[in-house]
Formats: sequence, C-alpha cells, structure tokens
Amino acid sequence: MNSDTQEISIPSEVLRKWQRIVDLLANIMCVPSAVVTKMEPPRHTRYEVIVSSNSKGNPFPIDQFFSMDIGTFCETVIKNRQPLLVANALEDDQWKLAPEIQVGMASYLGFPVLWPDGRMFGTICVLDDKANRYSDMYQEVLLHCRDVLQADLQTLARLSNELEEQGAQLSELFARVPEAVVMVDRDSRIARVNPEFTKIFGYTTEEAVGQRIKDLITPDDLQEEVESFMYRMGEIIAVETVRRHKNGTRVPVSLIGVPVSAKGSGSIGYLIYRDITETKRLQEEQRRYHEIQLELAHANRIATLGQLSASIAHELNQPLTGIVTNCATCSRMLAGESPDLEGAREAVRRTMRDGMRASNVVARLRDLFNKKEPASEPLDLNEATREVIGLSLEEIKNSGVIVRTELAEDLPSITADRVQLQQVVLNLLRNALDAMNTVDDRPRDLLISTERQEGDCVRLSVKDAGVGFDPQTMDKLFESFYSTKNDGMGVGLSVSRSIIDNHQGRLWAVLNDGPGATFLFSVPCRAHTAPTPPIL
Amino acid sequence: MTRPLVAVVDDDESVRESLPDLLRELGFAATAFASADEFLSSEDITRTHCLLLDVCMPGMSGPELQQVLVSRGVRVPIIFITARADVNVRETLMQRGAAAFLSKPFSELQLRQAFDAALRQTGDSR
Repeated sequence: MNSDTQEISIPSEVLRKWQRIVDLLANIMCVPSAVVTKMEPPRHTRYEVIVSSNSKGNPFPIDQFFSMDIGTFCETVIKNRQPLLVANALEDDQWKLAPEIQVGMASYLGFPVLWPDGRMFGTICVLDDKANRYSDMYQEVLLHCRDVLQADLQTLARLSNELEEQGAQLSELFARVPEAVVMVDRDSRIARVNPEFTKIFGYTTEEAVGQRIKDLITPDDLQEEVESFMYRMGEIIAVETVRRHKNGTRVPVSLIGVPVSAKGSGSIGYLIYRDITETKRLQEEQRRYHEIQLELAHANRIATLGQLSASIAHELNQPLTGIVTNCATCSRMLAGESPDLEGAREAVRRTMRDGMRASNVVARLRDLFNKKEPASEPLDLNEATREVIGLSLEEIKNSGVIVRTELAEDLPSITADRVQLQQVVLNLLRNALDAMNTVDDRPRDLLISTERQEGDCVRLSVKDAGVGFDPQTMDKLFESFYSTKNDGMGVGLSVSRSIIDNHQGRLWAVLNDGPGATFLFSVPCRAHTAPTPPIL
Repeated sequence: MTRPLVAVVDDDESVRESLPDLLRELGFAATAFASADEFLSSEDITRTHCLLLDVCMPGMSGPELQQVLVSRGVRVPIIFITARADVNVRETLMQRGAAAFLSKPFSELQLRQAFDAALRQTGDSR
C-alpha cells in the first residue's frame, strides 16, 4: 500500500519554500553555498541538488548530479545517516581528497534528511570556501531547517498515501460497479471506461479511449446529444434512452451524467449507463399480465351474462309456450258453432297462471342475481389508480396527453370491488382523453388526484383540459347508455355511476374554472356494497 | 276412425298441461308423460302415432329416447321441441331422422306444419 516514498516528487511550491530556506541559510551563516540534495530513485546510485542558494560563489547548480561513490561529504552523511561537520577539509587527512575541494569548498556542515518511515531522502548542508567551525548556534539553525524539511516530507507522504488509497478505492469502485462508467472530457471524448462498459457495449478500453461517446454508442437514428447536456446544464442529468452495442444491437439504458469540475485539468464528466433490457422486459410482462387479468375479468363478465341470458331464455320459454299454446287452444274452442266455453275458461286460467309463472321466473332470477356477492376486498385506491394509469400509458402517450397525479399519502384503505372501481377509473380516464382529442391551443393536461374526505370517505377526481360539457345536459351524461368509443374494456358513465352507487358513493362532474371538466367520485371507506343490479 | 295418438314427453308442467288440449282441438288424441322413462314404461308406445319430445330433460334426454326407440325397432315420427335454440343440436337431430324441430314458444301454425312433416315421414297410417 505504501508506495516507494522515494518515488514521490517534491511539488514546486515546496521547492520554492525550500529555496527560500537555503537562501536564508547562506545569508545568515555568511557562506557561499547552502544546498538540499535528494537521492535518485530507484537505485540511489546518484543524488541530485534540488535546491541551491542564490548566494555569491555557490559552485553547485540546481539539478547537478553526484555519484554515490566519489567520496563527497553528502555521500558520507547519506551512508552513515549521521550529521557531518568538516571544519577544514584541506588539513584533514580524511577529507583532503574530497571532490568539493576541487570547486573551492573547504568546510562542510550537513544533516541527513529522512522520510517519515525512516528511509533516506537526502541531505541539507552548507559549505564554505574557507575553514569554518560552524558554531553551535549555526548547527542548531541548520538542524531546525532539517526538521522543517522532514515535516514537509511527512505531510507529502501522508497526502500521497491518502491520495493513493482514495485512488485505489476509486479504482476498485470503477472496476467493480455493475454499471458502465465512462469518464469523458469537455468534448465528450472518452478518457476512461470500466469493465462493465465493455460488457454492456462491447468496446474494449483501447477501442473506446479517445473516441467521442456519441460516435461510439449512440444509434444513428437518434439525434439526441444527451451526454453533452450535463455540461450545458451544469447539473446531473438522468434519462432513459437507447444506445447501441458494438455489434449493432440496441440496448435500452438508463443514463446518468455527472459533470465534475476538476481544477486544473478542465471539467470532466462521468456517464453511468445501466442496461435496463431486463427491467423493461419485466415491466412489459407485468403490463401484459395485468392487461390479461382485466381482459379476463371482462370476458368473464360477458360469459356469465351469456350464460345468464341462456338460462333466462330457457326458463321463460316454458311458460311462454304454455301461454301461446293455451291461447291457441282457447281460440279454437271459441270458434265454431258451439263454443266450448268451459274449455276456453280453463285455457284462459292456465294462460294467466303461466303468465304469473313467467313473471315469477323473472323475479326468481333477479333474486338469484342479487344474492351473488361482488368481490369485496380491502382496496388501496391509489395503487389501483396507478395500475389503471400504467395500463393506459400507451393510450395516454398516443393522445399527446400529459398525466399528473396527486395521490394523497394518507388515503385510507376502502372496502370495494377492485375490478369494478378500476373500470370506473378507466372510464373516467378515457373520457378525459376523448375530451381533449381536439384540443390544440393549450397543453393537454390531465390531473388525477385522490384525497381523504371528511366523514371517512375517499375521493378521486379526474380533471381534464378538454371541451367540457353543457351544464344543462350534465345529467344526460350519466343516463345515456352509450358505451365508450373504444374496445369495450371500460364501461359507460351510466354503469360507472351504478357501480359507485352500489358502493354507497357518489359520482358527479363539474366544469373547471379554466377549460375542461372534472369528474369525481367519492366512496365511503366502510362501504357495505350492495350487489350490482342485473342488466336486464 | 280413432284419433291418432300423440304423446307429449316434457318435464315442464306448463307444456304438459297446455299441449294436449290444443292437440285435441286439432283432432288428435293426446297423452302426456313427465319423463322418457315414464313413456317407455307405458303401454302407449306401440299405439303412438307421433311423439312430441322435449330435448333437455333430467334423466334420459330426448335424443337418448330416440336412440332407444330406434334400437327397439319402434318407428314413430318424432317432433322435437326445445326451449334452447341451438342450431347445432337441430342439425344433428334432423340428420338422425327427426321429423321436425320446434323452438319454444311455437305457434299453432308451426305445430301443424310439423305434423305435416311427420305424416310425410310415416308415409301411411298405422
């Protein structure tokens, strides 16, 4: 984790600071040269002068390199990791061959400089062109300067570690996140991609870097420049759209673009793509499933009605036969020379009886129908409404209508027949779409809202911006039996009203302050639903 | 000449009550039975000139009775009467040799036309 600290380069601000220090040192100590040296990675066979005082007579320029095997003062300091004071090299047997003498330096005071982990950094030292005993005070000054340098190195090492750790974490995130992440520059050119990008779109890093993201993965028939929007807007964008795999297949994606202003290197952005093929497929399946459910419920209703009709017909045909036959008999008996009055009376009596029987059949059947319980269950009207909207999205989109919902969060649950109420909501929604069919001069706004009402009721309203209705004939809307114009999955307003009536509720309509109308129904939570009257 | 005997087999009371009187007015003798079994166990089978037979009955149905009579070699023309108007059933039964098929409620005229058809089927009197 801890990289080779000697790989860390010293930033220029720090070098400038150190330059001031050595300048000061040379000045204060009245010596021609104050210098900081740094070991050269990786093998440390050389060291480099990284700052050198701008003092007169300084023979050591910045960036000069010294080998580690020529016997310099600094070399000794580095090898021994100890301070060194050479007061007069010329008269010192140990030092009279020192290379510094060649450039006119006669004395030396230097300290080792270490990285916080103890590894050798280099030296800080002063040199004089004459003998110099470097008093205790000067030694202390130089020592303190060395400490300043080491403190700086500690900060640098710490920052470098932190950066590295963050970098490692980020890299790990980048590599492992199950979404395609692309780093792009201001021109939307790809700087970096993660493995998931290759998985989703088929391009390797080599193939992707340098390309403009739009050229790579936006299908030709899509004109959108979504990816560059984030720069224009300066904020995060999120859309669902379609992109293209290297092999040409289209991939539905949800895309998030995050602009990041990076100081120095110019703004960059991150694009995050999630492949939503599976999500969309599931959504479609769910939608189909619900659609089928509603269709089944409807078909069921029809079938039952059919069966019922057959039953009714059969039951009625028997007494009707009696009536017709008896009347024919009676007619015969009364015709002719000597009418059989007794027989005729009997036939008439039987006719009346069959008539009564027929009406009893009707009454019995009605009774039978009434006894059938509607499917009453606890119902979350918000959820049921969302379902209906979800099923109608295609229609809504095709109508160019903008649907908004304001569904009360505290809406209590009600006891009702789910399919029946959904039929009503569907009917109101479809009527609203129809009402706005011809609207061109204003937005086709549709607002569906629910709210809790006083008296423990819930209310649902469907507000459109359509053509409205004539208030004089409002009642007719609910009375007329015409069905909606589409495939018959909904029911007309009159049946909607009777469904709501059966739930002890109320269905009504008002004209808006602006254009259009609002249709509303309210239903008590504790409805004891009366069964639907038969459609006879 | 004795009146030809028409048997009415129908589980419905109104029908059993009303039809025989009309048949008598039309010049037939008439008996009524509430079920196919009742008819089969009566002595009238051989004497019956024509059968007015309901299609749907509890127990043995009309068509089933037809099969039984055929298997016994009793060749009496059958006029089916039914409260259910099922086209397929009509086709099938006519193909199986029914003389006529009437949907309830039927008029006196339709009844007489059915008897004409039954007569044509028999060919001669018994």
